[in-house]
Amino acid sequence: MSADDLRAEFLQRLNTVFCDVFEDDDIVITEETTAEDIDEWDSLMHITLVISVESEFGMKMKAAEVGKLANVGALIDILVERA
Amino acid sequence: MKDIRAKLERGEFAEARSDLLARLDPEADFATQYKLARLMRRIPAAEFGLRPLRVAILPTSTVDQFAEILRLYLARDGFDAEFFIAEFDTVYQTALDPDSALYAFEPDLIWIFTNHRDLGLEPSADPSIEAARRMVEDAVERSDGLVQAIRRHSTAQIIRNNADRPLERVFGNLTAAVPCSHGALLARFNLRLAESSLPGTHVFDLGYLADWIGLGKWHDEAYWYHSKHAFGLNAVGRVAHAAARFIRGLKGLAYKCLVVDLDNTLWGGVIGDDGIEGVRLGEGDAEGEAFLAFQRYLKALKERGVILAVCSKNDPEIAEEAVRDHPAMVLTLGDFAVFACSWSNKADTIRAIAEALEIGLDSMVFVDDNPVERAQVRGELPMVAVPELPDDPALYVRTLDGQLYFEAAVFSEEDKARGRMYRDNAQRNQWKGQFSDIDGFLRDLAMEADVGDIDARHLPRVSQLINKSNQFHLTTTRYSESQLTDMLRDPAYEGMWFKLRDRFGDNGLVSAVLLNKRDDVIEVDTWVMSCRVLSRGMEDFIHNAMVATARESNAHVLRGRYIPTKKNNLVADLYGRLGWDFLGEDDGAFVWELPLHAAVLRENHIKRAGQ
Repeated sequence: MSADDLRAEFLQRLNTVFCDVFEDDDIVITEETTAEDIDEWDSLMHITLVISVESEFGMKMKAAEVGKLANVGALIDILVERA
Repeated sequence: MKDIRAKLERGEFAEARSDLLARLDPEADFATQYKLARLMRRIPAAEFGLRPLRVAILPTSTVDQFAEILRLYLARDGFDAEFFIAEFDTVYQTALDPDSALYAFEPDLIWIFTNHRDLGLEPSADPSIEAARRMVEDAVERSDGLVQAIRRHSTAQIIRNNADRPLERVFGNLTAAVPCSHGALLARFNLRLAESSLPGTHVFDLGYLADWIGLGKWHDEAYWYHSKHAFGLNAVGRVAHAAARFIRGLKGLAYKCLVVDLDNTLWGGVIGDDGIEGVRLGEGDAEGEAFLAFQRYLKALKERGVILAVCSKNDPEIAEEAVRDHPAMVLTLGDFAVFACSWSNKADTIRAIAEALEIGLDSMVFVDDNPVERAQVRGELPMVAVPELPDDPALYVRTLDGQLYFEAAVFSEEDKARGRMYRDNAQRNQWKGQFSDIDGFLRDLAMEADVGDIDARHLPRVSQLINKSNQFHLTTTRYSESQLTDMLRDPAYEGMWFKLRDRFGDNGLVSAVLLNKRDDVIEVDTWVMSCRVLSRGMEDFIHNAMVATARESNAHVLRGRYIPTKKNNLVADLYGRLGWDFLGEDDGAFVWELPLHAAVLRENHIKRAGQ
């Protein structure tokens, strides 16, 4: 699988997690999506989101990574690195 | 979860709530807990009689996610909770300020939510035991002082946490031996905190939960450093479950009575069929020891004041004899406030037990190995707690204990005497005939039966069933496999087996019938059935199958015999119930006939497989 394919697959899986966490089946995320773009994405929901991502991908974030996710692309960077 | 959401959207809240409760699992990960919590929020609390509960948390860590999940488990346990969460690390300021938002919130419950990090028990330079004692006394006094400060402004019940154990041990295996080690200080603190009994104040055993989860999972450093979560978020479900049960107990709503089944719940096997020598209970056998351990656990619950009762589909005399005479029984007849054995449906029996004991159904727990019985009781009596029981009896104790049904604010003298008190009050076996919607239940079971001729493949199980059955066995016959083979070669004999499936799974081959044709009379030589599927319409289904077979062979009459034994009283009137005519006694047997021209097919809720 090429690097781009992997990113695309992760984006798709993340999209499902986002829909679940924010309870909105219409959410469509891109690598550029940030907390600004989703109304309910505050610091509290951020934790829920990250934990849900950890469950979906079976991985653990580093302490420093949890807070430094500027956008969805940054999240995928970490997932790709751990894949 | 999609189906729960769909039910919510259609406004089917009762179904959505019962599905949701069935999905609840304290061990599930945080993402799952969180989704269920969000769904639960959409169910109107008032429709289910949930009691409003105002919970204030004064935390030294981030508890927002925990509160969300706690709200879910409180909804399970009958509360509509509203939360006030004090700003992170402002415990003292909030508690000491009479004008703080805490008191304006008028909480029913104030929870000082600490963990091992903030008790001021850092290892000191002075390693003596006196210094350790002093430090611990100071820590307990600080905690007591905080409680007293809150007490000046609020009558709320107060909960405080004891300490979870840290993961790291500087002293390793010496930890407990070195009084000033962190671990030793915390252990001492937990003991002292438990002894400090301030009125209306209760200790939540956070330390036990950390151990239960396993310290390696409990501690999640990434989330401590990133967002000050005191424990791993995947442990949140377990903590919320334990907290909700604890709060239920503090509010005086704890479960009081444990109703247990007998066969395969207190011992392995079926007493009516296997007999006292045949059931598995006692030392020397893995399963027997597991049942023994479960009985010991129940006995200990009874000693602490939980009322025990029996609800079993059994012949009362056989069941009582087993409890009285089995050499390995731990529980005695005297341990049970009510000993209810009958063949009526269990929801009715449990209702009658509640009436006899004069306690509410919402204070009852029902433990039964049979998923069909559990579903019937859940469906009829949603207020009764019915835990899922694992297949392996070795896990019964863990399962029941893990439900934390019997949390209470105090342990008193009355608790110890309670079991006997209730037994004296209860009038045994005086059941009032309230009838539940058994038809609706049977329809929901989606039962499907299969019928076939007894062939070589089915011979072993048929022979086993004939030779093992005592209760549902009309003619006391016993046939080995080779005898059966010979009989079935004879064209005068016809053998049928019956299998039953329902939405809980496959019950397997549950009944067998041997028919013997003589001229135009077909006699039921043998009819055996597993008592597990009794009262579900299987008798009617088999009656219909026999009628059909008899008609095909141009017989005019079906004849059935009942030979009474000590154990088969259950089927004494079976043919009568099925509408056959009683002819009279013949050599110790009661004889019944069904003229086929007048035979009526009996209604039931069992579909024939493949039709």
